[in-house]
Amino acid sequence: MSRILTMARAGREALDWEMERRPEIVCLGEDVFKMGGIFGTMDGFGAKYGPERVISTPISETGFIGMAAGAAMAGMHPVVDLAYIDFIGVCYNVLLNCASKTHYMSGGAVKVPMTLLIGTGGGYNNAAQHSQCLHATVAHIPGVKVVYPSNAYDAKGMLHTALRDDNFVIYLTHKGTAGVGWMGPPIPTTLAEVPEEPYTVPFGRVKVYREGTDVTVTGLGMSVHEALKAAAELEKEGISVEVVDLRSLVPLDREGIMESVAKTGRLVVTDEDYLSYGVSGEVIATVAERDPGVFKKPPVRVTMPDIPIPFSRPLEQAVLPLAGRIADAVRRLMS
Amino acid sequence: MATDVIIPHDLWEEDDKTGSIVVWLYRDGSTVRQGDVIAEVLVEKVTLELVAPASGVLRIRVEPEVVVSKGDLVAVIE
Repeated sequence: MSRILTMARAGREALDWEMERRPEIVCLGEDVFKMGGIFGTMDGFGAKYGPERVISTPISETGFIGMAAGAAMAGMHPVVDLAYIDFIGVCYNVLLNCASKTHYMSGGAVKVPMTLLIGTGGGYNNAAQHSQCLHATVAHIPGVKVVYPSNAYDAKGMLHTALRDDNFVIYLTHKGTAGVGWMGPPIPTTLAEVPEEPYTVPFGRVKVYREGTDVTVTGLGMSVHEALKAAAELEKEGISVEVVDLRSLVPLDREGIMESVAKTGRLVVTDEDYLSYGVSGEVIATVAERDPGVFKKPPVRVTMPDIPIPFSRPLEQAVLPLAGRIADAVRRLMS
Repeated sequence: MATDVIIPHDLWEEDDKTGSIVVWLYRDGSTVRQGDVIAEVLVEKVTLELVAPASGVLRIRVEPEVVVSKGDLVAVIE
């Protein structure tokens, strides 16, 4: 059996399996009853599970995220499709002070089992308010786990893990990696053979997509696939690149990052989120705090600059951390 | 005995519209079961499912991103 799935189909399979067995799981979000969420994670669920478990909400993220957190505290496990992470601003009090803090503030008495599905990222000319990654903005909040699968195998396994977690998990998917028709043909490295039976992928472990000896390139979401393209190109030039997918921001596998950089001595951090105050700095700090002596050269960041993301295709392509920019950064480290 | 995998005439409404295979969900030479979703077909930003009409070994004839019409043979199941 060698069934290949897109990330979107893999996530749907995990959620469907859990919903069939656990009546406490309910789906919420805009148009989810008929349309199944932006990636089709709930595709067909309206007909299968009915309007009490698959709830189309008004266009009020503030309202339905709060409703979900309350339902979670009362014993349900809501799965919320928030579509784009750019809309998260109006949900912030619930994220920052309720869903992420109630377990702690109640001395562990109240759990908030809730899974928030969010699409991130640009690359398709949707301009500054629909193209952001903002994963660092949510990973910064103590009390919430944040995961970010980049291929179909992890998409299914990490969603099973999220749905079995007793507390709040934010599950991010870069729009370009999901394998949905409106984003164009799927990226081959996002597709994977996916077992039909359920399985879990633990949070907090990096995934080494490709082993190498000269330079470590870390990425997450889409930047993993750009790093893989760069690595294939650099191999022709005799440069051996190790591509490390962080895949879980909270918890972050700091030892896994260190292990790779200790081996290669050179680090390029790619991230489609903004440059400053983000994951890219966190990765470098992780290595620097453990042993700055492993660096043969200063580390390099290849990220979105600190500017609103342009609508214009040539301008957007120029600021995205694409394979060409990653390869150039690696070449500079090797020169 | 082989079964042709044809783009069904009722997969989408308008006869004059064309689509393309977005992704094959099984590799060439894989064993598939009748009723498995074996490919995604994209027609005007809508993703549709192509279902295996028989069980057997899948032989892919049309690669992703090639334009297909209703009735086109895209694979064979042996």
